[in-house]
Amino acid sequence: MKTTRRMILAFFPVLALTGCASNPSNTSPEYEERPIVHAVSAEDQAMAKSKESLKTESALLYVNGMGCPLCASNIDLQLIRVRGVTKVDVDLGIGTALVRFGGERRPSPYLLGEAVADAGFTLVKVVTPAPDVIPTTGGGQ
Amino acid sequence: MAASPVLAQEAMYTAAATMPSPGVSVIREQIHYYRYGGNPNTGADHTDQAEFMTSWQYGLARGLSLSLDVPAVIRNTVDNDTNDFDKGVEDLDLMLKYRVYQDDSGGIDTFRIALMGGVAFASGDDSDFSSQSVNPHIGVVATEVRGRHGFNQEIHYYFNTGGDTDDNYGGEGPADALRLNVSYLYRIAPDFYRSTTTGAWYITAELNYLYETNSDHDLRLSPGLMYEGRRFAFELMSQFPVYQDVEERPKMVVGIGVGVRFTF
Repeated sequence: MKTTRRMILAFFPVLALTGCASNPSNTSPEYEERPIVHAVSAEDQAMAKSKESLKTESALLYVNGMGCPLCASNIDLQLIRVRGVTKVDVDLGIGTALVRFGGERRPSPYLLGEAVADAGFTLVKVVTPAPDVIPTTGGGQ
Repeated sequence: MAASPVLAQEAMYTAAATMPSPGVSVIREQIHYYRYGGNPNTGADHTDQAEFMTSWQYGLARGLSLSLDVPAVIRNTVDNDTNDFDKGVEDLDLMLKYRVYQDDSGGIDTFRIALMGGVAFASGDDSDFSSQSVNPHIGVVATEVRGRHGFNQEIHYYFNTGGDTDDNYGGEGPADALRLNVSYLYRIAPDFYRSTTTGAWYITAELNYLYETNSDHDLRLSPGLMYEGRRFAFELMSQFPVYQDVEERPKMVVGIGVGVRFTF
């Protein structure tokens, strides 16, 4: 009993630290970086799950969960393995992966979503073709 | 002693619920230096130990990875001004990590939970380093990333079936060990990610708690610095005792760690 109490007391700072941190709706001034929230409609969701092959030369993938530069390497290593994908540019600033296609075969959004999921992230929207002008600064909506 | 190999958003001594994707490998090299105080079992004045940890982690499937740790150790035990140098390989560690929960709520925000299970097994070296036994361990780790802030909390239990009291420097048996680790990572640069971002600097702080079933327990504070690029990471860490109630093994005086990780 004494030992159990010691363990709880010793770990209390740990619990306190993570308890304070686990509030995702943190809107205090010290939260310098505005969260990146991708606006997704029902049509976007349906499109992201489509198994129909894309017909464009590029696609812009909106991805959730890419919290660090090493995450980016995971996602580009998986997307480049998808047949038809020739180039991947990850933008952590806006949470996107710009995918360019080559050859005759094009992947479906479903296959791209599977590759993103293999990398450990969530594909929420696919825009085709990729817009000519893509926002380049992060932290926005 | 050191944390298992992992991928992103992980400090040095605390695991994270992250892992390489299928077919991707991560190699992690770490060098840890520890100074320990007097050994109550052998009577030695103090011990200096350098641990060279080579870790390999491989993505087996979506949310599932396998890792192997190989810790080589150089130890200098000082007793009455007499130096006793020794070197060897401690128990190897094979571990599976499986992600059981994932909530990616925003572009860079995520919350994940992973289960860990594995065995530390005899390296073939003598009992000064290897436990000469097979020791299962299980654990769970949660990771949360919110903007510039990252948190990891790990609970890990080691069923030690062997080990030598004279050569136990913390959690190496023969008593079972419970490790409770928490880490906080704060991205100091860049302020926010841009399209050109290829790397990020973090300051890290860890609390590492170890309880052994022989009633020894201690709490350590580990501040550090980390750089993450897209294919590699560099980490620098120090470790200081906060509280030590230790009678069966030497107390830790200070620890320093440096490491690199490569993904390919």
